[in-house]
Amino acid sequence: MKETIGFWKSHYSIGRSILTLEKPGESKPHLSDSIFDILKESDQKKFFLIEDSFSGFLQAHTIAKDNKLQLIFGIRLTATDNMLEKSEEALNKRSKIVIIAKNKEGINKLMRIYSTAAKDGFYYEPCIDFKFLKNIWNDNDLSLVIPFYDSFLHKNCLNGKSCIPDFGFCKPTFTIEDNNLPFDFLIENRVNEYCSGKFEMIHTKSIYYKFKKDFLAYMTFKCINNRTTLEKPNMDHLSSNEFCWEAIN
Amino acid sequence: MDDHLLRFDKKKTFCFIDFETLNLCLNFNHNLPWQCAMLKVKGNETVDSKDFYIKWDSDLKISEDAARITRYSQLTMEQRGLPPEDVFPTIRDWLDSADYIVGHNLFHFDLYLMKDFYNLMGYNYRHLTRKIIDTNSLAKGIKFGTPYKPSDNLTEYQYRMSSTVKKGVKTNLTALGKEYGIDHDYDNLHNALVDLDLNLKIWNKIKWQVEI
Repeated sequence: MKETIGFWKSHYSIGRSILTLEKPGESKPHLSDSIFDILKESDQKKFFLIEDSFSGFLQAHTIAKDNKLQLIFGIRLTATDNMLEKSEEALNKRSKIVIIAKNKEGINKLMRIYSTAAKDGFYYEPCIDFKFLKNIWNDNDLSLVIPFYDSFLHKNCLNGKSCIPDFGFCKPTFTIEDNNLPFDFLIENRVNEYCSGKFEMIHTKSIYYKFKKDFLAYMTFKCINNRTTLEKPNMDHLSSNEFCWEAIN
Repeated sequence: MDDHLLRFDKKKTFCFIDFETLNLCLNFNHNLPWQCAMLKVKGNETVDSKDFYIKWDSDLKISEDAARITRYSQLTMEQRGLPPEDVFPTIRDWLDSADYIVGHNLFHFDLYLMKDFYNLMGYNYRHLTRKIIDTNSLAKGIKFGTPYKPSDNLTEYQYRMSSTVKKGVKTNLTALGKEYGIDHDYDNLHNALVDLDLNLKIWNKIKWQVEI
């Protein structure tokens, strides 16, 4: 059986997760679960935290260090060929990437990338371009990972976008997920086809809540953030209860 | 030369399906289908139909909007409602045995209900996705001027069309029915079986416009 790597996300990625970064043992019953409690419970010594911003990094780093846990931190952000192009048309060329820091220098570079994306490339959300990444890139410090959902492959094949990535400066790793969504196999086929003999593929699981039963709480949280209701969530494909720690075990 | 096209194929079986639900949530955690209508069509001929009212043992209530739009009647439910365990075998049999599953907006709604229904009853639903013909997606493709090409993957194509929104382009059943000049009982739409009847008439128009 292939190993599946958990890609954790905390509530610091606004609207994306109901997991917190509270210290182990400090979460209150019947409130949100802490990633650190779950890690302790499952006796894990190392974890990937893939956030949408740097807001939770300090807290995650401090608590991980105090509890002798190895934190591998990454940022999921939007990438395109030219981040200064800001128009409705330019949105069709944007897709998600994940950049993971391998060491302290990697964190410094990741901070620069994120700051630039949030300052120069911002258009509805932070965005970076491949030219900037090429200039700052060093394989010793950073890893480029292509997420399963909202990647260029997903957007081009299923959303009719025209995202053209430039991987000339690095060797990206592609992720495969299975969350029981009807289109998972289509993306997986595309990833396999694209990577065949060229790029490494790993199996991952995006984790936004602890148990499958927490999906209702997660959905409620998403609706509140989206100013919609459970009766009419108005969010495409919000159906799977598999984005949880329970589903990886 | 075009004998392979569905519009000429008399042997293929189509299962047309439509659910009426408590609300618009895409998960059984907060939504359940209370009506499921199906038409079994072989070639151009409707050979059978089903109209199930499903009575769930659940605390979930129908939303005011859904009750009004779908004309939900508690009395009809009391009289005709059947437990999900009783209706599922037929739904599964029809879906599994059909060559194609046809419906309007299946990729963004009904497919999720099929998924949860199958999963709830302990079955895998994944084989259904490849069989889907979504008339909403195909109609969008036609209106956008990008009709399906046989060299494309039909499921991917339909996902692309269904996720594309263009201002002023309407592809709901009523709009399509009226544009195609289809004679139909438009006042009773949102009854699953009435919807399906119109859906079938629309498919019979669309299939001449796409190379499937």
